Order: sequence, then structure tokens, then C-alpha cells
Amino acid sequence: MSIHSLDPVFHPRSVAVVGVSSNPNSTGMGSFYASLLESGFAERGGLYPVNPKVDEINGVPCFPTLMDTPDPVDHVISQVPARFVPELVDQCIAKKVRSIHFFTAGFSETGDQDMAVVEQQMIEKLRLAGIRAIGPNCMGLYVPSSKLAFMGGFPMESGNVFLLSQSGANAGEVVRDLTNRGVRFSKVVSYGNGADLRAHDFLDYAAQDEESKVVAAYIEGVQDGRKFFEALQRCARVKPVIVLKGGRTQSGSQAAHSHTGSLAGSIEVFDAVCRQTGALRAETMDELQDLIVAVSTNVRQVNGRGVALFAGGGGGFAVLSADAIDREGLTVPRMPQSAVDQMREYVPVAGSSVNNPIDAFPPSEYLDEMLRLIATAEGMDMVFMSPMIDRSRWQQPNSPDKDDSKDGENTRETVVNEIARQMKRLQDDTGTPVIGVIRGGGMARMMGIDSDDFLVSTYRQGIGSFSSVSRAARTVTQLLQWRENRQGLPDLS
Amino acid sequence: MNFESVVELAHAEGRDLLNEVEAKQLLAQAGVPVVETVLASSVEEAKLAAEKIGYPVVVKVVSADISHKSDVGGVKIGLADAEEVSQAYQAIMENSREAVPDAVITGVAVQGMASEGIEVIVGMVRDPQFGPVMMFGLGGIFVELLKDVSFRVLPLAERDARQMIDDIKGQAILDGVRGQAAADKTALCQLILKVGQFIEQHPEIQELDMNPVFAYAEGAVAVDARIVLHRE
Repeated sequence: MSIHSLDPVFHPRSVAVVGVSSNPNSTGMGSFYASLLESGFAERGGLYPVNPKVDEINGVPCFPTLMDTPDPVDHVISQVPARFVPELVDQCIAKKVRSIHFFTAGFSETGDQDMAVVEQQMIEKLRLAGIRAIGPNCMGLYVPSSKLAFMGGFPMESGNVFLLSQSGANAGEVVRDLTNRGVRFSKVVSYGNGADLRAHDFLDYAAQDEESKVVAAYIEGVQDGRKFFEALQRCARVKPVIVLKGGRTQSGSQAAHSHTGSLAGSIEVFDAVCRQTGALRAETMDELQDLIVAVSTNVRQVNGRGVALFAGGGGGFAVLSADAIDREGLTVPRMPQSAVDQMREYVPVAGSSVNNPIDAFPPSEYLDEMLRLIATAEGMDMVFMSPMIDRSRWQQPNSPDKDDSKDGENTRETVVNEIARQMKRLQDDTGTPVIGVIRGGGMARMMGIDSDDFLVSTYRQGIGSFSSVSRAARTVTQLLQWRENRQGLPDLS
Repeated sequence: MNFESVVELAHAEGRDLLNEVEAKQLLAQAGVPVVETVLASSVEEAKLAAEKIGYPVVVKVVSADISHKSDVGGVKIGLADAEEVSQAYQAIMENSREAVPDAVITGVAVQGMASEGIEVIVGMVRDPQFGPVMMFGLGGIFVELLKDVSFRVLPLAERDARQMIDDIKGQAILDGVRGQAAADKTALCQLILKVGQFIEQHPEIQELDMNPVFAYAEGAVAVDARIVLHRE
């Protein structure tokens, strides 16, 4: 494997936090030193707090300036006010650092021409010295394998998702939300103004990074449209890339002399860029997260639109779910008569439906057999399954469990893990993708199931799960369209 | 009439907009199928042009100051002979002068009557981030209401042009409704690619509309075209 020019940026041996806050316990935005202590960076390499006004932090001496820190310093995090940045840039050059992340804001993003010039000049200077810059006005890096984190509470377990985001808060939100669904990240970079390193640089890096199997991006504006297009094209050839574009603007047409000019808004053009390059476009934060889950799991193997819905929850829920599936572009085919007849051997007629959607509970000894019938019935390209099917378990979630309990403790997690394994078994036995659907809030609580636990347990089994039938259906449809749209590009399935 | 001289003339006259005749001739030279159209600045020239093209013909006012030609009574269609062309010429001049008294009128465009096809639009605009972007969609006068259009960034691969057509939601219309023949998608694809190449060769072009383009069972032809140049 060749070494990419940005590798050092993602793998610094030592970090100096310049302008560090004196309060090591602060955990808000910009508490980089505290986050790096928590993530364990200090055990891996040099971690140097720098602030002339602070003597020590929790007994660790603070260095007055960057020049006072031991050599080498690979990476600098700048938290100093903008007016001190030019001096810090000079010190970084003298100190021969490899990269600098400017949390410092107040540059081109303010719209102030003078500050835009200052930003330009400092980047020019750094570039001549061979120092790469992230930002200004951003949160920088979260790289579990390098023990880098820009916020507290991020897992230090590495994953396969590379995330680039113009917004630091959005990057944090995606990390936190998806962590709760079991997803882990290879590298996350919030790059703000992108004065030096930009979206296309990170896309190129992600394309060749072996640790990253899925690439996600939150983009507001693109500085070099052509370079971005080409980098997106290169990356999307080899990996699933999901892009969420924020900020809808009208076209930049002179005065819309033409129909084309008045119809070509920024979102329409961005959508075209995604289709053309083979990327997936998400329209909302929820979609971005659902799509990341989808391309990382068995949702990628779905090969048709027919859904066997085995969700329980009553007749009304079944009807609304079937409507939602239809509305989002999938179908709920009728169960073949032979399968219906066989299922009738297991479940009574009263109060149940064994057509599709299936709203019926067989005695637990017949459950596996019934699921097999559903998953192998003609026309069923996938099964949507909710955890509330396993009546024998969810009826008394707090009672001691015969099989799983060790200390007389039948945890909710055990129940959920068992259901996830059951789903995986069904999929392995039948070859039909089984997708999880969890109703949140009161319904899940009544069943004694924590929806986050369910999402995590299924994800760990390689099963995609979603917090509503309609989100599941929508995501599957987007993936099917994506595959269709990729005709003529390398097959990623 | 080559591209440079047309642009030079437009700039000399202080125009960003090429007239219909100029736009179509440049497109025709680039290999884009357009309905044959000739500029005439007198009744006699109009009659000669009509003879050359063959009846029936359409006559339209050509003026940089009049963009909605039919609204001012500046379009006459289905003209069967020299007499009708002559009357149409007079009527168009009077209507146009009445509607827009200070309009500078270059003349009229005389063009053949294209038999009706499925109306589509092919266009281009320069996006501030991604540069030239092509558009394809269902055309005609309702294009901005229907908004059933798709975009791709230049340069286009054949796959892109084909997908622009496939992206249209109203595929049923392209496949022919009410006994209409299905649109020749291969011809549309070739037309889109040709326009794309034309745009790439001419960075002076800021925006382009071909609306409508008539798509037939075999082939497709641009019936109207407008080109907007970069402001000098």
C-alpha cells in the first residue's frame, strides 16, 4: 500500500493544543485537550497544552508557547483568537509541524474581505512550508485508530465509515447518532472554511484508504466544482459515497434569460452531480444516517421490491405499514395460497392475518418454520421484521429466562440479541435479506425492548434496521435506484 | 456565417442575445438538427425564402426587444403561398410596432413547418460551482410549470445523455400517448451529445434553450432556439 500525502495528517505522533482552556473538565465545543486526554492520545504520543496564561492543568505543566514544547510536534490545534494566528503560523513553520487545525474562527466565513485576505495569506505561507491546514472554523479530526477525538464520549473503537463535513456540529451529530446504531468510524474530519484542504482532497484520501469502506459527506458549498466532481467520481467508482448537501440557492444565471437558467437551482445541479458520478444523495440528516447503515449492511443485497412484512402490532399498524411501503416505492405482494395454507396449520384464523402483511403469532416452537415459509414465498425479495414478534419473550421481559440467564437476570439486551440472531439465522437459511424495523417510544417500551439496543444488536449481525417502516422502505428504494443509476459503473454490490 | 462573426456582430450591436436565426444556423453548423430558418428583412426576401424552403411556412418577428413573439401577434403559421406570406409579413410588422413601439426590428424568420412531434426541451446554463450544465425535459410552453427536467454536468458521456432522458418522470409522454408515436430516444441522445460538444467548443455561450425540440418516431429537430452570450 502506497502512502498517501495526507496520511501524516490523520496519524500524528504528537499534538500541541495552543490556546488551551485552563479548565480540563470542560466538555463543550472546543475542549480539545480534555477530549484528547479522554481518548487516550497522551498514552500514545506527546500531548502538549500551550497557553502563556496557564501554569498547569491537573498537575500537567502548560507550555507558554509552541516553541517551548518538546520536538517533534506533528499536529497543532489552534484555539487562539484570530489576531494571534499569524504569529502561531510563523511558530508552526519554525517548529516544522506537519499539519495545523484551526478551530479559530473569524476568517473568510464572516464575509469580511480583510479577514478573507488574512486567511489566504496564512494558507499561502503554510503551503510554501509544506504544512497542511484543516479549517479555519471547524472541529478537525476524529480518528479512533490514532486516538484523536474532537469531542468527549466518542467511541475509540475503529469502524469503516469515513465522514467529511463542512460543519462541526453536524459531524458530531452524525457520530453520536450513528454510534447509537452500532456504526463505527474510520476517520471523521470537519473542515469548515476549507481554506487549504477541501472536500476533494478528503474524497481522494477516502477513496484509497483501506480502513474506510463507506464514505459520507455533509457539504454546503463547493469551492472547486470541477475538482470536487472529479474526486467524487473517482471515489464513487470504488466505494459507496453518500452526500448530504445543505443550503438551497437559486441558479447563478445572469438574469434567467432562459428556461434552463430559471430551472437550474443548486440542489437540482447537485443531484445531477451525484447521479452522474454514481454517488447517493441524501436529502435530510435522517436519510444520510439511514443510507450509511444501509450500505454497511444486508440492505445492499436486496434485489427486488417485494416486501414480506412480519411486524405484528395489530391490524391497523399492518395496514398503515403496507401503505407506507407502497408509498415509498416498494410492494407488499400477496402471500401465495400454498404458503397461506401451510401457515394456517400453525396459527388460528381468529384475530390474525397470514396474508401479507403478516399479523399473527404462532406458538414459539413453530416460529422458525413460519418465518422460513414467509421468507421463501414467491415474490418476497426481503422480509421486514419487528422485534415484537417474539411473544414468548416480550410478554414477560423481566421474568428469569430459562436459557440465557446466568445470574437470574434476563436483561433486555439478551432478548434483543436473541432476536437479532434469529433474524440472521433466517437470512442465512433462506438467502432472503431480513431487515429490522423498530417502533420507537411507548410501543417499544411496552414490549420491554429498547429501540437503540435493537438497532445496535441487528447492526452487529450485519442486519440493517430502521426506526420506522417508512424509513426502511424509503432507504431500500434509494439503494435500488442507486444501483440502477450506477449502470455502466463498476459493480459495488 | 461563422461563430466568431455572429458573436462579433452581437457585441457590436450591444446584444447578449443571439436571434433565433443566428442561433439555429450556428447549431445547424455544429451538426444539431434544426428546422431550416432564413432571415428576411423585406416582403420580397420573405417570399424568396419561402420559395426556397417550400410551403407551408411559418413567419416570426426577429427583434432583440421582443422575446414573447406570439404574445404580440408576431407569429403566423401554416402560410400556404406567396400571397399569404406577404400578408403575414405586413401584419407581423404592424402588430409588433403597435405592441412595442420602440422595438428595433431586424426582420422576420421564415421557417419550414415541422410536423408535430413530442415537445421536449434541451438547454444549458453555466452553474457557478460546476460550470456548464445541460438540461433535458418535457418542453413546450409549460416547461417551467411542469419542471419535469433533468440535469448533467459537462462533458457528457453517452451514459449521461441516456440517463437524462430516463430521469424524466413523464416517461409515458415520451413513450407516446393518445396514439402518438414514441420518441426516438437514440436521436435525442445524439442531439444532446451534439449540443454538449457545441457548448464545450464555445465558452462564450452563457445559456442556451432549444424549446421546443420535436421528437419523432425517427429523429428529432429543434424548432426554436435561443443563445445568450457572456456579458462583455
